[in-house]
Amino acid sequence: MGSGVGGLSAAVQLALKGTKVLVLEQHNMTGGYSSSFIRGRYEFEVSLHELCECGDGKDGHTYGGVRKHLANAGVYPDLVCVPEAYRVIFENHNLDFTMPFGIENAIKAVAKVVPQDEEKVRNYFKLCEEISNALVYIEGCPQMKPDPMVMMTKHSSFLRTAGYSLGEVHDSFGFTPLTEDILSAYYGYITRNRRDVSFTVYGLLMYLYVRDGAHIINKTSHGLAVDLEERCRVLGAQIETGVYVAKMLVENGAVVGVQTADGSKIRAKRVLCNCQPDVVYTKMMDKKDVPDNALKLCDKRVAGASLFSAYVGLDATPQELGIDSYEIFFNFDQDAKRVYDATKVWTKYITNMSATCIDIAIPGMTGEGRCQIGFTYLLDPDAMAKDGVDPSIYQKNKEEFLDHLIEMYERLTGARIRGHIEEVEVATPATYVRYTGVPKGNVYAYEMTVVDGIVPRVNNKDAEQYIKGLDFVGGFGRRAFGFCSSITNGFDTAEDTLLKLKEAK
Amino acid sequence: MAKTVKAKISINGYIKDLASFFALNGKRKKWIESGSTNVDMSDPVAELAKHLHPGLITSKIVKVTDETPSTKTFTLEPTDGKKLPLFYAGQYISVKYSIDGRTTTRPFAISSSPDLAVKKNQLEITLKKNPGGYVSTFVWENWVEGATVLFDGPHGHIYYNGLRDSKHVVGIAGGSGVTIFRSIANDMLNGSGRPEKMTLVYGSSNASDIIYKDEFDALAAKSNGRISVIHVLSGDVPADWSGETGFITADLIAKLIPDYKTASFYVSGPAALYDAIEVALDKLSISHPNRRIECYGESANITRNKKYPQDNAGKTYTLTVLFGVDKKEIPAISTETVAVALERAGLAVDTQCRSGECGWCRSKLEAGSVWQRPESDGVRARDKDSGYFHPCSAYPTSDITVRVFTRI
Repeated sequence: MGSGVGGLSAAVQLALKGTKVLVLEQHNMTGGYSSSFIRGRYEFEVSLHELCECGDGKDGHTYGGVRKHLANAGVYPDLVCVPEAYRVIFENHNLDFTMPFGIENAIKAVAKVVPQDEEKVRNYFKLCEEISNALVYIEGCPQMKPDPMVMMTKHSSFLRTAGYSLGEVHDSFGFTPLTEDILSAYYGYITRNRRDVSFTVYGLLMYLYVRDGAHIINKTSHGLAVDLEERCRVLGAQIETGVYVAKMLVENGAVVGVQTADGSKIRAKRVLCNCQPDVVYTKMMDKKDVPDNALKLCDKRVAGASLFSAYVGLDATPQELGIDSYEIFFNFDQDAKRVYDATKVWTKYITNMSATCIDIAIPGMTGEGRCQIGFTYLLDPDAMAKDGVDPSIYQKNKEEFLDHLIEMYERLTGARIRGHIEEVEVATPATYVRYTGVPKGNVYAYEMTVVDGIVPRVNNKDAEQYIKGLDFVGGFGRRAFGFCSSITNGFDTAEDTLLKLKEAK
Repeated sequence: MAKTVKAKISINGYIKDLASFFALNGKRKKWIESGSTNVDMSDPVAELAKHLHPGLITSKIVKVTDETPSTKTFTLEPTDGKKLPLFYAGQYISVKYSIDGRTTTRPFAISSSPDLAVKKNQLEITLKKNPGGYVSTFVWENWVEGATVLFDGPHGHIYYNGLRDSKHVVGIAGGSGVTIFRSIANDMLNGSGRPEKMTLVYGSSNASDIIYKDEFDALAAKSNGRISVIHVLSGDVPADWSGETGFITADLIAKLIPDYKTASFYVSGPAALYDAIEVALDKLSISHPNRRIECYGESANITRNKKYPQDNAGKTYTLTVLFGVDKKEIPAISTETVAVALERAGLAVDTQCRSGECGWCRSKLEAGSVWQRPESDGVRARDKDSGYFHPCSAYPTSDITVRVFTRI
């Protein structure tokens, strides 16, 4: 149920192994957030979609796990490496910093700005490497259950940091504030709260991106959805769109199929849901069939982030407009708490944003003599629920907010885009609800806090298999959200599912 | 071999750091148990989304107004308890018809202002009679006060945006394409207040075909110079005619609009108008950001499109339709869209724009070939590589096999 890349990845792997698979999608096309849309002469990438673990194995790069998973299933998306990890502009530090790819390059780049921190930064990347090595080992273990002795002797730095937040680990390094801000700049990819996010998740992301590069999909992330869907069909999976699942069929406490909105009952050995668990628990099942702890876990989890996204189609090349970076993070405030609190309020105080010009990474993708910029601002899914749902101000809010983002973008980069805007579209949390049905327009699923990071989720996956026959894939799955996590999660969960199907036999 | 240097890391000391990992599962367990089983599922954002895009609305015709001998305005009001969605002046609704058991849809620009929807929960569409037309004939026979009309929306992207458009909008309208400008003009005076200024250049065949003549005059009169309307007649010219005559050309635009170089042009009318105006705007070097063309809609006669492969006309092909595990063979006429062939066979896919731009009908061509109308071709780049196409504006040029996804 649900055909985001998580659902499709699971489907393709299950179909590859000869399982009979039916994918039901309520929207009229598959892909979830992995999508694009057209306005006039422009096809817009719906969101920033960077993948890690997609190295091609050439020129000293690692052959990335995500690329490998996909290739093993016969899926070959057209992956393009972006030019650098990130460019970040700190208005109050008066610093415009570019983080290059390559660990040694990255260390040198930071050292150039903060020479006294070079050894600390080197040590930091060493730690991130050890986290990554530990994960490689864990993933190689049957069912991701590692040998505790190996973990203790070979991967103790992984164990010694897994119980801490990013803020706690960064503090222990004694970085100067500028170094800390530079090294935290990726946080917008995974959290609204850069202090409390699990260090393991952040350290891994930082390391894999910087080591192997970040990849995007040519012809937008919709391309991956098509690649997966096409491959699913070739492998015999059935995919139906425009079908809304209304209920889970439950027998003896186990999910044994689904009932669609038109009343059709479809029996299945297992159901994989690519959606927010509480929707299934409260809207598709009777309360008596849902264990208390399943509900309690939903109650405790912190909603990730929704997005305010704007898409601007420009009738000139990036060079003509003075745009020279693929992606820029704008950090107007480095106080983690203030930034986090600001995300809880709808369109009031902008503390950060990102702006991406895909045409820098893929020249000419938008079309000859044109380019596009995508603006992204993270906000609490509850922010709009509290302050932004009055329809009479909705249209005005959207335009004013984007006006503000463009003003800051032009001021800090020197690029001039006004006067070249040919198409403009704004997506708010309400837009995300409309297309995916996710509560409050959530995009980042659950915050990966220390107790709810990937490590405790994976460690407890059996204990938290609350309902027999029912699993979650995609952003709400055990690998947590993220474009590549969703893919990996789909493949992992498919493997688990195959095992359970075998056991049942 | 050099000894691997390990990262130096200590947060609260080796033992405590290690202990914090082993404490993690217990911590998580306690954390979960402190939760409530009453999960709050209230969702105002979903309610807003539902208001903005309520899906199918059942309405009734509360008023029919004769505008000209061949044009009527229909006032619609929901009867299913739904509140009309917020829309931008210039957007359209997609009307769903069931005619003799056959389902089809047509897009119609909303001719009333958003204000009418907010205040009275009503909207208006203005239709011109197309003699012999399949849908038009049905409308003229059946759309009377009290009749039921199903529609969804709003859709469409020709509306004012302050970040993109100039303060001065030039509307170029042909025939019933003028409907969006009635909505925009009313919205300027009784709604968003934007754009600041609009000059409407409105071409009609004959004086008797001019829609909303008096209403536009009245709006212009009370607009303090913000709205002006220039009529252009291409057919018979009455003796007392004070407006322009002939077709709307680059020269006429340059003459009528002194600041044409910086104004934003919105163009709405029949396909012939679009072709002519594109040429005129090119001649005047109007930049792309300053032109917006309303969607093309259903083509009355596709062979009039110069790009249509003329030797394809007059043929009937076999269309094999795949839907789920079902398969069906139906005829497809070469001068009708694949969407129409599906509708004729009772296998309609959901359509909105009937122009190829919105992608709602996205389907996959598994075998054979189609001619996709190049104007407002909204097929995604990656989709083109795999044979996805938009049946509402694609014509078969051979026997074809098509996989459809979302039927209505």
